[in-house]
Amino acid sequence: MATDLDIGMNDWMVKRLTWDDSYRPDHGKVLDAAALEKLKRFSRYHDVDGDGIAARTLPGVGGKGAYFVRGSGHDKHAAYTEDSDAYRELVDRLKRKFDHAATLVPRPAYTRRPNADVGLVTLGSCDAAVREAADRLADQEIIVDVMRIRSFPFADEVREFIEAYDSVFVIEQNRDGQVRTLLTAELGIPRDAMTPILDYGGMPLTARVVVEAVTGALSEVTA
Amino acid sequence: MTSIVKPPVRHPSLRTNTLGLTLRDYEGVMSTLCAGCGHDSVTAALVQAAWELALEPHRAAKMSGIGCSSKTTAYFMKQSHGFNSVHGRMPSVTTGAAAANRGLTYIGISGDGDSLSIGIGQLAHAIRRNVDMLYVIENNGVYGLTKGQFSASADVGSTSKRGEANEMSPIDPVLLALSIGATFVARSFSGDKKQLVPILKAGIAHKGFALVDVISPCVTFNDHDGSTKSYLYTREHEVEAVHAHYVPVLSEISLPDSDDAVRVVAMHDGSAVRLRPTATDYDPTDRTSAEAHVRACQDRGEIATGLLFVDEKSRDMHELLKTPDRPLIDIPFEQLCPGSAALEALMDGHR
Ligand SMILES: Cc1ncc(C[n+]2csc(CCOP(=O)(O)OP(=O)(O)O)c2C)c(N)n1
Ligand code: SF4
Ligand SMILES: [Mg+2]
Repeated sequence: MATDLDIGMNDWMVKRLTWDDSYRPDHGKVLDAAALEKLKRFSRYHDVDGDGIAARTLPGVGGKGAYFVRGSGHDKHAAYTEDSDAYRELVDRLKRKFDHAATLVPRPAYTRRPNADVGLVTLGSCDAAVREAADRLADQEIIVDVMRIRSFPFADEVREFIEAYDSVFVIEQNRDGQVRTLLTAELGIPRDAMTPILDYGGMPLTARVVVEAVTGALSEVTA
Repeated sequence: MTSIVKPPVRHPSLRTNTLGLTLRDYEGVMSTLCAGCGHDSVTAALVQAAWELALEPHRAAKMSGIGCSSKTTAYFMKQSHGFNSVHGRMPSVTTGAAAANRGLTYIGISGDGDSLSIGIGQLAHAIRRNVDMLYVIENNGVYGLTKGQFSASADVGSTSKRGEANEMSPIDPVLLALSIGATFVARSFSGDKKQLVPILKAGIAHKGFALVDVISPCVTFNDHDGSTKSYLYTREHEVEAVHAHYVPVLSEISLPDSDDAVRVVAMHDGSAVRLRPTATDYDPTDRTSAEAHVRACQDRGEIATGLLFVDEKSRDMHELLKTPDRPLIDIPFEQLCPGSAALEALMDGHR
């Protein structure tokens, strides 16, 4: 989940929160004593169905379900190993798990306009300023769509959005363009296909910063 | 050829405890530590203590950080869940586990590096919260795993293998724990299993945080002349302040003791510890006198060992937080979640 200091520390107006009383948490693949009984052997990191998620047990369930979480090399049975193939198997499983997670995490949130030809990518507390900037830009007949990334690993939709526009800006509040770097590293999108708008003066982002950066960059291209 | 009927032989290691388990049932996987490492003797004492207490292996959780010492959790009770956490973070991981499931016995194993450098803040707050756990520091004065750098417990003047002396003042986990309110504080020596096993048993029985600092020499990096954490130095300078004897059931010691100096501390679970101070003016239930004694020993170049302080009337984390007796993990979601009505009330409160 993407959050930041402005969201965490300051008061925000939000819509009235609701709670669904029928909600029940899903703890995923947790084996109880009865399920363990049916197994010949419990193997903590053995992926049986290809989604990268191996079943776990909770402490106290019984000796058969006990396992040791260790920092050093281990195999799918959670046993110590110095066998490279056995360890590689686990590391590859983690990659599958991570890729699978990208299909389950919260999707991006969009603010779209018909016939937009510019995409603005942002996250966290930049959102309100970026959406306000989109309105101001529309006044100047620059039509932009906005995508707010809400989670990592990136869902496929993140790539689809970025690839759909001739001009894409990534707006974030740090000096180095960390989100843009992640987009390049994770999705293979060329860095130069995304223009950074970086604001790091320590104050919340304003729409003016975004409007000026976008109009400035676009006029450079057309000039 | 007729076979000879052999008399049944029971190897002593196959004696069973009240659960019908042998000592071997409390062992773990084979240790990969250096031959002669003090930590392996602590492992043996833990196996012995757990077997004698007849702990149900699957009802115990073994917690550790990072270091040679923190590997100990793999070497005993293989039928228990174990968690090798991040360096110095075992106290908070255990605090979380204990908050969710107060029904398990928590056995934490750490090192002087893990607990007194990167993890000192975590250790201090687990002590303050009085998390119900046994917390063993296998103390060798060095970072064994990363090849023998001085740790924060190294004494002034103690030398490294290459002869350089430590000049920074040491942190003594026993004095630290006493000064911030620990409710069970002991020190022992990996080479003294007779002293260590009853202390470990009492520490497990204690309701609250039980700190056991065990001098556990590193044969590879800190067992030379000039080291104050070597086998030889510890043997020559160890002074037992209080001898502890663990008594499984209180009724067994209800007979009046002929020895006036013995104090009997009733543990929460019905067991008891008999404490016999070796000096007449020492009171292991008085924090001030315990602290003074440990300091005085230190000034004389001695290492005070034994069950140095115990306060069995203290309140543990769950009592302080007023959590229900039933482990949170066993309480149905419907009871744990305050639901939409509570959320509505909360939001109205913000209007
Ligand atoms: C976050 C982090 N910092 C540093 C290290 C490197 N490191 C590994 S073990 C260790 C110290 C271990 O010393 P101690 O706890 O005394 O254990 P010993 O090996 O002496 O038993 C250090 C600094 C690490 N693993 N993780
Ligand atoms: S390096 Fe030292 S502490 Fe680590 S296993 Fe060897 S003797 Fe033990
Ligand atoms: Mg050490």
